[in-house]
Amino acid sequence: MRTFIFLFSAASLLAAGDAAKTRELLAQLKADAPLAERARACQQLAIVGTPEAVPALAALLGEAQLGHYAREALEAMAEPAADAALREGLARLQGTQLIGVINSLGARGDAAAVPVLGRIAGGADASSAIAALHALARIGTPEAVAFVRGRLGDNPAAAGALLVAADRLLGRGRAAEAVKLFDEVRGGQAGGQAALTATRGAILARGEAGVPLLMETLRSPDPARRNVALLAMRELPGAGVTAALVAELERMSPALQPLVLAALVDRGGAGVLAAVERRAQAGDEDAVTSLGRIGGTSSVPLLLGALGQSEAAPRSLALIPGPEVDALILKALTATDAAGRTRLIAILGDRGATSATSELLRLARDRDQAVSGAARRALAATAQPDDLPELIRLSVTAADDTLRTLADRAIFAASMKILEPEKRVDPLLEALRTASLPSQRVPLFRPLGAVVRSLRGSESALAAVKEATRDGDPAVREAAVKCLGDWPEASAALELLALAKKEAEPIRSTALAGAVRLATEVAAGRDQTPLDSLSLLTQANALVANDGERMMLVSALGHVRRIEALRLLEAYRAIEAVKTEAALALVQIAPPLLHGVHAVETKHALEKIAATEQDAGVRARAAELLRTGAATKKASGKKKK
Amino acid sequence: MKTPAAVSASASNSRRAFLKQALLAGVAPLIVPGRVLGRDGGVAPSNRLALGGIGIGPRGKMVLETMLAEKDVHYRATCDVQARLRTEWLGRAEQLYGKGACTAYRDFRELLARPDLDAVLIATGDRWHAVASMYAARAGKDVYCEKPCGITIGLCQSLSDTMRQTGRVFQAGTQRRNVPNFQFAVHLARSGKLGRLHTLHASIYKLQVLHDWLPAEPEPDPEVIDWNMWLGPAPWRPYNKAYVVDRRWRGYYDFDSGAKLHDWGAHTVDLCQWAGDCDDTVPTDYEPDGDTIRARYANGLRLVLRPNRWIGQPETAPNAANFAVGSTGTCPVRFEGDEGWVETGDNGTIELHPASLRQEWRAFVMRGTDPSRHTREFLDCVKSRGLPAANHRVMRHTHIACHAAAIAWQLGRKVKFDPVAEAFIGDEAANRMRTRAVREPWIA
Repeated sequence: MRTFIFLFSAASLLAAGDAAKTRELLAQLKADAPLAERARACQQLAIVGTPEAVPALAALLGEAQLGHYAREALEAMAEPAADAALREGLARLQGTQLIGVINSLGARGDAAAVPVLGRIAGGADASSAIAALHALARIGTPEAVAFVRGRLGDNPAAAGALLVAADRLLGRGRAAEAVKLFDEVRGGQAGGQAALTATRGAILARGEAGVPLLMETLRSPDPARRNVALLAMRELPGAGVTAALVAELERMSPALQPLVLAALVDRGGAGVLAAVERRAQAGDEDAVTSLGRIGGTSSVPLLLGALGQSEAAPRSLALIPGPEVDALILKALTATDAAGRTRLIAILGDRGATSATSELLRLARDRDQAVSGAARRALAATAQPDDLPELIRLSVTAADDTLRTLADRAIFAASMKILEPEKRVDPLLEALRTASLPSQRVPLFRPLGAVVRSLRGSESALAAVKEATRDGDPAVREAAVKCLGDWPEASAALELLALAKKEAEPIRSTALAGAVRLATEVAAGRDQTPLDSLSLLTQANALVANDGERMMLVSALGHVRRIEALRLLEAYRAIEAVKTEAALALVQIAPPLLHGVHAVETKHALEKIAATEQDAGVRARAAELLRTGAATKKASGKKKK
Repeated sequence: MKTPAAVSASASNSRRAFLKQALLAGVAPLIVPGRVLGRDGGVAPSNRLALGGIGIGPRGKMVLETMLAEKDVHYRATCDVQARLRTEWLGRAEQLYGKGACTAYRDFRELLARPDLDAVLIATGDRWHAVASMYAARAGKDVYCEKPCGITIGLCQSLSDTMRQTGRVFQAGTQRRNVPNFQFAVHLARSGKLGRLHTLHASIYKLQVLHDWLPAEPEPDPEVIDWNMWLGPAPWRPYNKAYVVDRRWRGYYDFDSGAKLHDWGAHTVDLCQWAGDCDDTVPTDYEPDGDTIRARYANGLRLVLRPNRWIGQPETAPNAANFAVGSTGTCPVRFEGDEGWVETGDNGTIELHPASLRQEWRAFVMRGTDPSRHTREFLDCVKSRGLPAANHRVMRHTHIACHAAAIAWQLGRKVKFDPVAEAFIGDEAANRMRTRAVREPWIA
């Protein structure tokens, strides 16, 4: 069978009513053409074909494999000849092909087919009768609808079909006729979905006069019918409908009220808010939740009153929009105890109430730890860049690290709101420059580091922190070195190595750890700073003073695939505490070295590991490398473990 | 057919006002409190939603598992034309609820005939989505249907009409409506933070239509793979296991939706429609320009559907032939106004200008393509009868916009579309492409 790929691209192929193209495609429809080609020709005729194609397509309607393709073309053509060909098919086709033709006539709305379809709808073949009922409903002429109504008693499919016809009438503005059909189905024997569809249609088609039926349906003990009402409540337009539903709300069963309330909230309109507020006032938690959706300034006092008893009230207060709501919450702060203030402060934070910032800054210094902490949390959402000096003062003067951490988060959030990224460090640097006491400088490095990391580095901050590493106060130097060790790019590594050489503990070890970390980032390719990681690690190697630092260095060397690194690792193989880690690092960097000028030296190192290493996994990996020159996956997972 | 005027409430008017506030506060919108809906734990088996699944392959699995994680769901029936998948999901249900708790079917009509099922998840291939959804609605089931929901404009119209007439809850599987980074971008667009909105950008696959038939192979035992049922409403063609087992049906005119445009377009055009406050309409002009389609709404707002030139997207990416992956991940969208722009995608990254817009971001912590909030919303609406985010009217307009764009591209020329009549203006070929006859005996 010939296969082909056709990419639509040539507009000339696809102009409807193209006579030349039609003749070309008709030639492809001939019986000796491959089946796929004939099928494709039908599909193109569906787009471009002229009535000239109708006879050939009609002749294919009865074919098992091509019948549907031919029908696809006929169904698409606007010309009456296509209707005639399909109608002719009603007389000669059977089974599924007959159903297909019935469907197409329904899709085309062919009124001339109604008498024959009517006969088929009343015929003995159940499948074609169902298809005919659906087709008659789609055609929708009075005669067609009459045929469908005539089958209501004896074919369950007639109810569904009649509902389609009724819905079309409603869509054309013929509500009274639609009501009759919906009611006819409702009053008949139809059950299941047809009865539900009919009920919905009967309510909606009546407009505001549908309210009694809506209420009756809502009170039904059948959940499926009740669901129809809940849906119709959302769909039926009219202020009178809303008023009637609101009035009915209090008389409904407690089980139904939350669902009706939700539907009313979806519906909206005059009277709904007042009804919801009444229920919220009475302690209905669902109503309190709903106020988050539709509440206004009028809802605020009752929500404030519900705080402490209602789980939903804080969230609803956070959701209701408007600066006047912020003002009401701020006012409430003055008339409550510490626990109440804590709750209100959290809500102001959730609202991002910038107008509350000055009060929050005041409360951040409250004697009550919970109030102070809540205010600092909220400031992370509300504070702006102009507030940074005061936020910095909060951090510097914090009574403990918990409060300082919260202040630092607010500093970070406010710094990130500065539009130009390169200026985000400026307020902290200014504070660093002007702080007169060491105790005022030390706390600044943590938020500064956070901002710098979010920026992936900062020249001005780097210079300031480097300068601080030469501060006369050891606490300032230590904080600066720690900040430098977490720098987001490796240019700080040389400075750290120099500090590790000259400083005493604990600054020495902090500086060394930072330098090794940054060198590792470069060696692993995660940092593109043009530095020689081997040179950095070689300098660090001269400074290590304990096994912990040795382990750190050995791990870093495991990223440097150079013979000098291998030699350093060879030396560490003699130190019991790190020898396995050194062996593993060596195995890790060995593969490229096995194929160059250092192959003999590398092989020798691997042979020693394969012969003497205690860890079986590392031993096996070394042996595998010696055998194949490539690492095994299993052994490479060892390091992680 | 259009929605009757008497009941033509906006697709999402009431939702959107609330959503705006909910997004601002970083609170997930709930239609009805969870306590009322009985999903706060301890749900009695008799109060669980009885769920059926139709055509649960790899994508369906992702969605279904989010539903199975919900305490108020009981998976009672599964249906597939492949025995392997029937067995797999029967086993999964037994693992969850014990033996005999779930029944497997080859023919979805048998599953739909069960009166005890409340809702179905339809995750077949595109060719089945609309028809199976309509059968489900007529059988009284609420429907979560994977996108694209219909392979022609006509099927999308029929699907929407059927859902409206029957009053069933319908949620299209365009879950990005319920993913916060996308919601945030839409919030910026709709709240005026970008100024006057002028252009919406939707990522799409590189478009392609295939018409070849794979070589014929002997048809398998229908008990193992029911080929006729797999084809369903799509045109007949000879069996080849690659269609079924390898799911190599994407891009085929007979099986896929609109030249592969809907694969992402159903999501990204959907988000653009939402961002532009166009949920109840579609663009009026569509003009192909290579791989790009430029569309315009009646109010002048532009919609650009394109596979490339996204932020961070390599010009010669290995997958350039298929779809865009920029620095915001897959499925990017971009909204532009005269005071700013925002671009985001599946990895949750948000690129925007000016940077001050980031202040609007609060607690939009979820990202990616996780459908769990979307499926939860569907389940809540099954109980409350509320309108979910990707309801049938939203689906209708998003899908029609995608189809109209794909038809313009296939025709290789500019087309004009009447959003009210839902028909092309003065272009018979385009109008003929709005519908395709479904294969007998299926009724659309």
